[in-house]
Formats: sequence, structure tokens, C-alpha cells
Amino acid sequence: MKIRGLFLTGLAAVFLAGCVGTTTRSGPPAPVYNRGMPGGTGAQVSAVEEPQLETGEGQAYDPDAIDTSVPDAPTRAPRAEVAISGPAGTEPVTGQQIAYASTAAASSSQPMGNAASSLLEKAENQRRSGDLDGAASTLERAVRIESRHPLPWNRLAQIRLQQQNYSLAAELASKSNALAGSDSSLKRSNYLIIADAKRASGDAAGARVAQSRADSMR
Amino acid sequence: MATRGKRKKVRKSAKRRRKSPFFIRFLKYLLILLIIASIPLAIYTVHVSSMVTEKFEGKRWAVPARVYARSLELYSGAPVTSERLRAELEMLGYREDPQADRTGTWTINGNRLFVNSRPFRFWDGEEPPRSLDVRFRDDRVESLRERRSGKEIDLVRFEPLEIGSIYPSHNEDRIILGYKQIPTLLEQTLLAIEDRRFYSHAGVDPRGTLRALFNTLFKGRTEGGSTITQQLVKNLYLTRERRIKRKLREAHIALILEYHYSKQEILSAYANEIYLGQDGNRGIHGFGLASDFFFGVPVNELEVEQIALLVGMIKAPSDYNPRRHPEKAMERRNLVLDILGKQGVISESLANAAKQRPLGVVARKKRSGGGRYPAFMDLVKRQLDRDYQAEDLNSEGLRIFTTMDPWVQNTAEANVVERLTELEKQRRLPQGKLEVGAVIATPLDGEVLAVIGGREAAYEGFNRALDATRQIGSLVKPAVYLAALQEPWKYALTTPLEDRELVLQSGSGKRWSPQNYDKKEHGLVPLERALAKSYNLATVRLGLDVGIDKVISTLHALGMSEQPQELPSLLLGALNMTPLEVAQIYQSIASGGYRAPLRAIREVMNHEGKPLQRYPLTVKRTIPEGPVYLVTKAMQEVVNAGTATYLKSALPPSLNLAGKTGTTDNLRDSWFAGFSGNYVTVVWVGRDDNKSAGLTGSSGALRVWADIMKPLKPEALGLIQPETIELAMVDPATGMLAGSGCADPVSMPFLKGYTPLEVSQCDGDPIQEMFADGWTGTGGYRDAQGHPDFENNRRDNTGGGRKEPSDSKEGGLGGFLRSIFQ
Repeated sequence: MKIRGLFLTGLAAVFLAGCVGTTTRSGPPAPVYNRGMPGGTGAQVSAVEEPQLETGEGQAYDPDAIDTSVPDAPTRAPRAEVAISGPAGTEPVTGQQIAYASTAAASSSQPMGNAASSLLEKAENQRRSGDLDGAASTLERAVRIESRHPLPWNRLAQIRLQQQNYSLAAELASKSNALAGSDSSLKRSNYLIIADAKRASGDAAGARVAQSRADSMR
Repeated sequence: MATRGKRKKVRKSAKRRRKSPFFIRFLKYLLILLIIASIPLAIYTVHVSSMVTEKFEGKRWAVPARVYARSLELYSGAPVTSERLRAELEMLGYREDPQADRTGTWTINGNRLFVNSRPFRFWDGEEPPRSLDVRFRDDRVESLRERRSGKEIDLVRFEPLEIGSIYPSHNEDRIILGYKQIPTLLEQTLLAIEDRRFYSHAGVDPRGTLRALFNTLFKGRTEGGSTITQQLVKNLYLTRERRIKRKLREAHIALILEYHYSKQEILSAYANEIYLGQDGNRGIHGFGLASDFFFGVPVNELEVEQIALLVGMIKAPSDYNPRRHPEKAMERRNLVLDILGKQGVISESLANAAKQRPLGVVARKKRSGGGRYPAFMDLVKRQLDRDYQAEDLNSEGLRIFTTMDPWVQNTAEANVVERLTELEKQRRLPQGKLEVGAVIATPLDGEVLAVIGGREAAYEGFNRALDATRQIGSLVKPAVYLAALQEPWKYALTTPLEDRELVLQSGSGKRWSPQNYDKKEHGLVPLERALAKSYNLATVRLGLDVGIDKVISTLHALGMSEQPQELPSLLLGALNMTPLEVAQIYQSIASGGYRAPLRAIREVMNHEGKPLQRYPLTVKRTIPEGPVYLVTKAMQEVVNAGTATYLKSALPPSLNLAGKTGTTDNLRDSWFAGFSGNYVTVVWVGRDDNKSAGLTGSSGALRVWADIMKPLKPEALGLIQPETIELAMVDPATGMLAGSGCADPVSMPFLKGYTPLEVSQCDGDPIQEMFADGWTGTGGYRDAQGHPDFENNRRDNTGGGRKEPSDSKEGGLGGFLRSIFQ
């Protein structure tokens, strides 16, 4: 009896030993990488993961300034302008509710093909329903199709502004201006975006300059 | 008294019962011994078990991330020709079919193409399958309609071409097979040859082991006798030694594996891990890779004799290497076929027929196992490495959408080799010595369309586009001129520069005396022409006057990441960069001063179709538009009248291309960097051993550049004149405003407020005219700090004549000339 018990215990021990080594074969589903948008104290932006762009490190947009920072090589050390920032964002958010003077979807006098037009329409719908990342994707497609047309750039700037990506919004609006020629109403919209972006990132002086340019476009 | 007797009786009988035979007691003791011995074994097993499963899981060839090129978009007006669309459809595996009524088919009728597109789930939505009627005209899509209804369609996106797969965490290329992808015949062959009782044993096969032992001891044969599981263990955990201790460990781990994992899991692990050959320093592991390496086909297309050969090679991959030892390989293969026939896996007749067939091994392709475009994939991997943590990307079934344009990539690859061979012949260079590295990107957003790593584009070797750091020579000059043009009170396109020899002495007493390429001096040349003709002397003088630090700042603004020393030789390009880095700089110019970081990835999506990460379109204005416009104009002069006039005949002159040739010391490096409306392309040509190739930028890289660009049918470079630029009519000889006496004035762009003040009547001695009125150059509007304002329309506020800024550097022609006479 005793022997049998010992034998069974021993056997059990051996079998249990095998079991202990089990690791989960089919582990938990891999975590979908989730990086929240910085500046989260402000309005909640769409939850989809979007890398925060380190464009200018929160520098105020200055039309005359040349960026003298040394950029990183395209394949070398991290960052350049497509870095993924940590939870601490670099965009200082004022925290107050920002009155976006430029939220109305701008239009342009320049003719645009159907493809880009339908994309702009789709993007506007996405924007209204809160899918800002989707709207941005759609607008980027429109930019690629009509790269010389200022309007998709302007709309994209607007989206980025709404996503509180202020430096990028200002740059995109500036690019739109470079293409806008004599379309003063579109340029006004761009300057308003720039003004909003500067105001929101704490550059009051720059915001005033941009605002005065917007006003002079009337 | 009676009870005691009874007890005695009981004890006696009990004693008699307890007295068991000796051998049973022996067994009992043996059992106790075994149990005691098994405790350390159990502990050891526990310890090993976790290591075993961890390693198995770690190697568990999760489905790799699939990598896609950009998808082709069609819309009315799209710059896509019928040839291009057909080429793309072919790459995607669409079949030509006159009926063209099923998904994945197309047919053509003159300038009209009918195609049934496949559906695809993009990161931003579903693209449904469609039946399309595409009409072409003048190298564009004229109209796009729904085939049946005739309704116009705004935009269609084809599914993207899959260009490879990678394991983001360790970046290997493998062709991994899931169990279901292992052809039945392959499995059966494996079992028949290597482990017949695979499905019935528990990891170790006693019969096999005993037989092997028997053969080893008594017949002098050293045989495997290992099960598939044991072989997997050997491949995965142990080194290939033949020792008893190893065998024991092998068996032990095999048992553990079998306990934890199913037969199918073990078999597919085996099929992916088994060593089948060597390709340089890369081991060929797994049947997926082996079938590609030896036969050039995916595993599901293997013929029976090919399967037999591969399985036969397992025993001794080097001995049975079909390329090195074809006879032995053939013998072994046919032996396997015999066994298969005898065991009934295949019919005897098929076995005999298969034995007659040749080995069928293809020439060794210099190709990576997992991708057709290794140079581009290299860039993708590096950017993933740079931007992601390994654990972010370890989930299964990731999809990576890249910026590559397969048509651009293929076209570029196809057009490179011929020119290199021709150049070699012309220059009497040894064949195969001339190499190339190139990058093609879109100016507006920095998306990389194509990467050429070398002349053998499909070869996964040294990636010259990303890694060949070479002196850029004259490619640096646009940065020098751009730095100058940002000081419009001193420099405009018309500013005469002195192309005269000079000697510089460094602090250590070393002398540097630069020369022009033609060893001549050209006197006074307008700034624009000095760049167009790439005059070294004028450039060095200009750069010294502007300040090397400012040139370096400009290079940084354009995207250079180096921190070079402030040496005058930098002005002639004594600066090392890769083609990719050069492409970044020229992208910043091509986009009008909006630097966009060059990127190869658009989006990463997880297996659920949810976007994991995006690379948004990003621009950053780093140079004011006016000066960029001016330097671009000068770069158009490079093509129009300078060192790249070849392009005017090689491509349509109406394209108004802009670019710069680059040549280095002793003609070691030949560069051309240039752009059209929709492409910025950088080409380097040279020798890997850094010896002189005898080629200038014009005679070498420029030719290759033209060969690449021509079939791409680039869009014209239509420069938009910025608001900060105004035009003025000038006297081409002096650069002064053209007066009424001038017969051939030329319209030139200037920064607003900085047009020439002095007027020339084009009648007198140009030099004397320039001296008259103390003409010192241009003036313009200045802000409180004395900085020029490029943004506004305000006119000159410097009053009267024009003053230079407070640093009292004398600029302009007057300054130059005065300095001669001092």
C-alpha cells in the first residue's frame, strides 16, 4: 500500500513536472499599439493611433525664419519629422476652448477634377462625422492626385488644426498659400488657420501677424 | 492462553503471507529507486520545459508582415498610359481574356481597356470589385466608366502589389509555410523517408532507435534513427554532434515537445526549420525557401521529383547539393523516388517516369528569398527599425503599405544596365565594374517611389542608394547659390561673379588652389551662368563671401544631417553623402522650399484591418520661397545652357527640367540630381573600389538619369512664381535694368524690391557702366533688424541709393572689383 502510494505520487510528480512547463501557446491577442494624442487635456481627438509629428518642436511658425536645426538622415537615428512622441506631447495647449474661425470648409476658384472633388466631399463627410484620421487620409489622396491645387492642402491643414497638430496645420496652410496664386478668399482661410494654430500654441505675436494678413485679404 | 496461541497463529500466517518471492521485492526496491531518481529528472524536465516552449513559441513563425507597394489609382486625366496599366495588371496577376468578365481579367480594344478589378480592404475603407471601361488618349486616361452601365466613375484604386514579407522584429526574409500550405505529397514524402511512424510515436520511436543502434553497433553504419521531432530538436536546440549525451537530451526534449504541441505544429516547424543548403552566408532553412532557391517556384508548384530531391537532401545537404554534386543528388533523389514507389506514396509508374526527368534545378539566382525588390525593402526595414519598437510590431498578420511605385521601380531597373555597359565600353573600363545607386521620390511629399541599390537590382547586396557615402562634388553648389540668393541686397541671378583663380591658405599653412574643370578662368559671369556652367572659381569666391557657415545652415535647412567642418573645400562638395541623403536635399528644392522627410512607408495595418500607425503627409517650410524659386531657375539653366544640355535632346525640352551635375576629384564619382514636376531623381555612378571611372556628372550619371526618366514620361516642371518675386527687364551683359537703348533685354526674376536700380542703355562699355554711379548692387526693403523681407510687397525703404546691411561687407560687383584694386 505504502509502496503503491509512493509509486503513484512519484508518477504524479513526473507528470505534473511536465505540466508546469506549459506556457500559453495561443497568448492574448497582440496589443494594438495605442498612442494617444498629446495635448489630451483639450478636446478629445479621434482615438485612432496617430503619430505626433515633431515638426518644429512646438516652435512658432515664422515665415521669415529658416529652420537651422540639423535634421536626421532619412535612414539613420530616430525622429526627423516622423517621430513618435511619448505621452508628453510637445504642443503646449492653452486648455481653453479655441474658437476656430476657419472651420467652415473653404472653397477655391481653381477648377478641380472629379476624382479630387469627390475625395474632398468624402473627406468633408468624414470630418463631420468625427473621423478626422479618415478625413486626413482621404485628403492626402486628393493632394497626391491634384498636387498643385491649393484646396486639398487647405482642407488638410484644417483637419490637422482640429487634431491640435498646430505646427503641421500651419505648414500645410502655408503650402496651400504658395499654390493659391491670387485666390484671396482661400488665402484668407489659410491665414486664419495659421493664426489659430499660433494662438493655440502660444505664439500670440505670430497669431496677430497672421490675423492681420487674413484681414487684409478681404 | 488460547488468545496468545491465536495471535501466534495469526502472526505466523501473516508472516507466511508477507514472505514474497525475491524478485518481487527486487522490483519494489527498483521502483523506489526509480521514483527517487525521477525526482531530479522531474525537476530537470520542468526547467527544460519552459526553455523548450519559450524557444518554440519564439520561433513560431507567426505569419509575417506583408509588405505592399502603393496602389495604382485611375481617374479621368490620370497620367497613366495603356501600356502602364497593362504592365501593372500583369504584375498583379490579372489575365488577359477576350471575355474579360471575371474578376482579375482584362482585355484591350484599341485605346480602350476593359478590366475587372479585384476588391481590397485599404486602411481607409473597402474598395469594391468593379468592371471598368478605361479609355486612353495622349498618354492619359481620357475617361473611366462602369463597363455595363456606362456610368462615369470618379476614382478607382487597384489592389496594391505585394512586394514581400518581413518579420519586423528581426527583419529576416523567409518563406514560411503554415501546415495547410505544406503540399500533401511533401508531407507524405517526409514521413516515408524520415519518419514513418511520425503520427503514432510520442516523440521518440523505439523501433527506429533500436534499429539505428543495431546498425551502428553491428553493421558499422551510422544511421539517424531520429524521428522528425528529434531532428527538429537537433535543428532548433542543439548542435549537430553525434554523441550519446546529445541523443539523450534530444530524446528528452522531443518528448517534451510532443507533449506540448500537436503533430501538425511540429511538422510545420520542421518543414520551416530543416537545413537544406547554404547561400553564401545565409543558410537555406525550410522548404519554402529551398523550393525558391533551388527551383525558383513556390512550394505548391513543386513536381514529385523536385520534392523527392529536397527531402533526399535532408540527410546531407552539402553532399547532395544538386548544383555542386549533381550525380550524387540524382542518385539520392531516385532512391527516394524508389522508396516512394515501393511504399505506395506514388505509383510505380510515376516513380519510374520521375526518375527519368532531369534535376530541374535553376541557376542560382542572386535574389533574396522573400522579396523582388530588396533595395527598397531595405529602406522599409530601416524605417521600421527607426520608428518602431520591436514589440509594437510583433502581432501577427500586419500589413505594411509602402510608397513604392512598382512601375517606376521596374522601369528604372530595366533602363540602368544597358547604359552602364555602354559606358564601360566607351571608356574601356573592365566589364561589370561600373556601379550605380539611385533614388526616385515625389517632390511634394517625399514619398520614395524607387530605390536602385546597384546594377543588379534584384540582388540583395550592398545597397548603394542607402549606404554608398561619396563626395557629392558640384551637387553642393545649389546650396551655395541658395545661401547667396537669400541675401538679395547682394546677390541676384544677374549679379556678375568673378570666375578668377584664388589661393587659400589654411591655418597650418596648407595652400588650396581650386581650378575650373576646363582649367580656365572666365572673368565676370552672371551668377546664374556660374551655376549653370558649374564654375568652381566663381562658386568658391561666392561661398567665401556669403560665409561657409551660412552655406552649412542652408544645407541643414535642405535636409542634410551631417555637421561638416567649415572648410572652403566644402564649397566644391568635399562632403560625403549617400544618394538618399542627396535626394532629401533636392526634394526640399524641388518642392519649393517645403522639406518633406523621405519616407518609404505610408501606413501599417494590423490583421483586423485597423490602422496601427500612419506616416502623415508632412511638410516643413525651411527656405523662403523666393530664393528657392531663383535657384531653381538657375538649375533650369543648367539644363538649358549649362552642363546638362544633353537632357534637352534626350527628353522633351518642354519639360523645363532642373538639375545639377556633380563630378568629384579624379572623376571618381559621377552624379546627377534633377527634378521634373512629379519626380525628383538622384543618380550616382562610380566604382565600388573607388578608383576613377573617368566619368563626369554629364558623361555618366546624367545619361543614366535620362535613361531612367524618359520612359517615365515625367510631367513638366511648372514653376509657380511666388508673390515675393517680381520680374524686370535687364541688360544681359551687365545685369542692369534695360534702358530704351537696349535691343535684346531679357526678363529676369528678382526678389521683390530688389530689382536693379541702375539703368543701362546697352551702348557703352559694360564695365564702365557698372562703375558709373557707384553701382553697388541691389537694395530693397529692410525690417528693423536690417533683415530683408521676402514676404511683403513694400518697396525700398533704405532711402536714396542702397546701403548694405550693417556688417559693412561690400557686396555686389563694385565690392568685387574694388577688392581687386586694394
